[in-house]
Amino acid sequence: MKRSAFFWHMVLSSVIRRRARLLTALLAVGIGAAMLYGLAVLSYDVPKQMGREFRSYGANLIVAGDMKDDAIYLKILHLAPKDALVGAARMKLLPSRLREHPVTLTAADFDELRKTSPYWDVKGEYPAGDDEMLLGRSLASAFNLASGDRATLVGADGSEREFRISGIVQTGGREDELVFVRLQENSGYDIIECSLSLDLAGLERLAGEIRGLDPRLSPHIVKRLASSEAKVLGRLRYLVWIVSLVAAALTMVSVSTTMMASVAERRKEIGLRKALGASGRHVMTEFMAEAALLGLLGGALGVGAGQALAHYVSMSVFARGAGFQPVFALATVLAAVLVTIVACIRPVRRAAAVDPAVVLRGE
Amino acid sequence: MLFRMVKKSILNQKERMLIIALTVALGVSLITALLDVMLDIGDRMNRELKVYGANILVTPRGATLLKSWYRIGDEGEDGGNEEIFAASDAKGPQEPASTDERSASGGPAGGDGSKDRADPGMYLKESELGRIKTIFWAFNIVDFAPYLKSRVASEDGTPLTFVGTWFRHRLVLPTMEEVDTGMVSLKSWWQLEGAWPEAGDQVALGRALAGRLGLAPGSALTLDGRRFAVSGVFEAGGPEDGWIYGELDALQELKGLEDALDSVEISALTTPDNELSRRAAEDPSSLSVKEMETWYCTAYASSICYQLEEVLSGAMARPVRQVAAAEGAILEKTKLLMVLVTVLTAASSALGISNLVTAGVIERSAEIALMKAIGAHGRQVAIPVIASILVSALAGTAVGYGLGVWFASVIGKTVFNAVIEPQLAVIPAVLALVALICLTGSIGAIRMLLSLQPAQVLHGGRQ
Repeated sequence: MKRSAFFWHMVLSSVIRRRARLLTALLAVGIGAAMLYGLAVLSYDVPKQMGREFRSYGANLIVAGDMKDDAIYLKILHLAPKDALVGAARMKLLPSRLREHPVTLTAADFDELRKTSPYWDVKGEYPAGDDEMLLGRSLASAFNLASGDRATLVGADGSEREFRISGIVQTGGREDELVFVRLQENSGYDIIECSLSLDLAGLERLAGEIRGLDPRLSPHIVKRLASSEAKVLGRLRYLVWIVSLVAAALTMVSVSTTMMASVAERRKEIGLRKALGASGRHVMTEFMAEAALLGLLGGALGVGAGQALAHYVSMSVFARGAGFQPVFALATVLAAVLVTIVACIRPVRRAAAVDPAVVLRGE
Repeated sequence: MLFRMVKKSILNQKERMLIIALTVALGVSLITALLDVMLDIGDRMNRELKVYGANILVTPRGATLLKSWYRIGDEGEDGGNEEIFAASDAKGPQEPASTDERSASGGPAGGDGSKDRADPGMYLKESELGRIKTIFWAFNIVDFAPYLKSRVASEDGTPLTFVGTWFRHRLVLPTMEEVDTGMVSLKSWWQLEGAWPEAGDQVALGRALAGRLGLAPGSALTLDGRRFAVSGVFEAGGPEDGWIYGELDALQELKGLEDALDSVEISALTTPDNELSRRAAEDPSSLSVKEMETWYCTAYASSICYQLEEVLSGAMARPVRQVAAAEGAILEKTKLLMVLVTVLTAASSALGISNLVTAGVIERSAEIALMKAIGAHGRQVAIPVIASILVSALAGTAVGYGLGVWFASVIGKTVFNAVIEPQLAVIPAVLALVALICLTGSIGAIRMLLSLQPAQVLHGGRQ
């Protein structure tokens, strides 16, 4: 091998080795910061997103009253916080008879109903036209009716109307014994089922505001859902926080051990600098500055990776992205800088305290 | 000199190995804790979700339609519909075909308690309830409560709705085991002032009714000619607020309906529905033998219902979709979330460890190059290096596993107030992962070093 080629190999290998060491430290800090930031964003976001998932339990605020037109409905929609409103379905209940058996005919707003009651199991279709109806499963089996059949409903005033059964609804609850048809525009309604991702206090406040609109309206909070949700969601929030805390703490410890290792390996370098006349203080400052830079860079890279991580998790679980949290990002970078500096202090001080001659002589 | 060099090298290595072991221990403890929590999270969350109440409702096959007109067992999922419920309740007495009327036949009018045994198809049997705990998925039945609803007359003849149930009941099973169950644990959201009835002559009143009658805990009222003490007043936020709740035996005696029940609410731990369970719920006979076996032996709401129908005569069991479906959705989300968090955490821990191992090997480049310079082969060089790393990683894994189990138990205690059992399957998984990380981390680095000329490395090592 020629001399010049050999020289370049030397330089290259030194750079590779130096870069490898730098990369090691940077990677360690970056991974730690990514975990810290990603988990913080998730802990912040998950309970909120989960709150929306809990809306699959159905409506949690029911407004009852004799409402003639859509004015009240629109006012209530306006009152409800926009990002919390999952759906609000208007309903009108009409006592009727099906084959001489008393049934409750419910005229409902199906588009909204599908949002407020996602747990409905409909075999067939939701009614598309005004002459179609959705039949509860118990009624269907009692009268031996199926999708596609026709049935006549007799209203309270004796009026008869024939409907085609577009589907059979099954919930295992009250709906199994009801008949549903489409709500006519401007025909009035007496119930609004609202599904809101709000806690009990938020629901109570909204209920108060609705009562303030018109004293004849009676808003009811579905206690069972509101109070159970608070309990379960509280647990879930706690779980995510504890898991994140444990994970973040362990990751930070692991980052500092890696940093310690990488500084300890540079004892000879420290010894050489001291032998060349640098004071312990000088070496210390230089290393701290390097660590801070490393922490800053690793922290910033980590925040980017952590954001991608949190976004990925949020996307796959809730099909909704996670927003950027500047406060967490700042805290993460600060934590990364702090951890790197703290991790460096002990090994640098130890190396600097030893006589350079001893350090340099030792293999 | 030689002795000193060897000793020093071992000491140096010791420190490096200690750091590798420590990092591996931290990573392993994190992975172990999260894996244990992840494997247990479904069960834990499932239990938490039991606060939403029953997810299976059992009614007599013969009476389903008629009875459901009065929404027995439909414990007011929609609190706001109470007017409507109230309206249909008020209609009750005039409704000739009503079960209420039937069961109340000896009631409001005479109160003589004539023992007219009702049509057996209209009721479930209280004596069969113990069988609920004998089905295949008996272990998954968390709580259940029987109900019998009837009309009783107050002193001035006003008809009132009386629901007989078990509040806290100790049931002795055919297997001589004892189970505590009842309505109190099913209705966690009910707010009670006073106490739940403990004796047959005590009742609890819904807040609306108590307000209407001007009664409070401690007062007394007469129903069907029998005196009851009010032990408590509850607020349910549904139509139950207008009802009276008392012991099941007391109502059966009052109405002469021994052993009769008209619904059972069951809270069970279930597996979220999938395509198979939906098909089975439609028609169990459409499944092949193998599918049937899978379905029967999985805790789907539909298979638990099927098994309940097998043991309770004349019963029809249905999942309450509002609870069951939502529960499934939330469980799946929570599980997926935990799986992703665990996998990502494990991946980053693995990356961290492998990073350190690689760095550790690179730091030993001088030593490796020296060995090679005095004529060692690649394998001869690699084996001692990898072996020493594996040994320290193994020590770290052992410590980390113990630490991880402890972390998991801390998480279980603080969050769910329950023990998270360490899963045996985690041990081989963690061992395999650690071995894989260390091998890939060190082999890659060693290969890189071996590809360089010893002289270059040795020169570079001096810096």
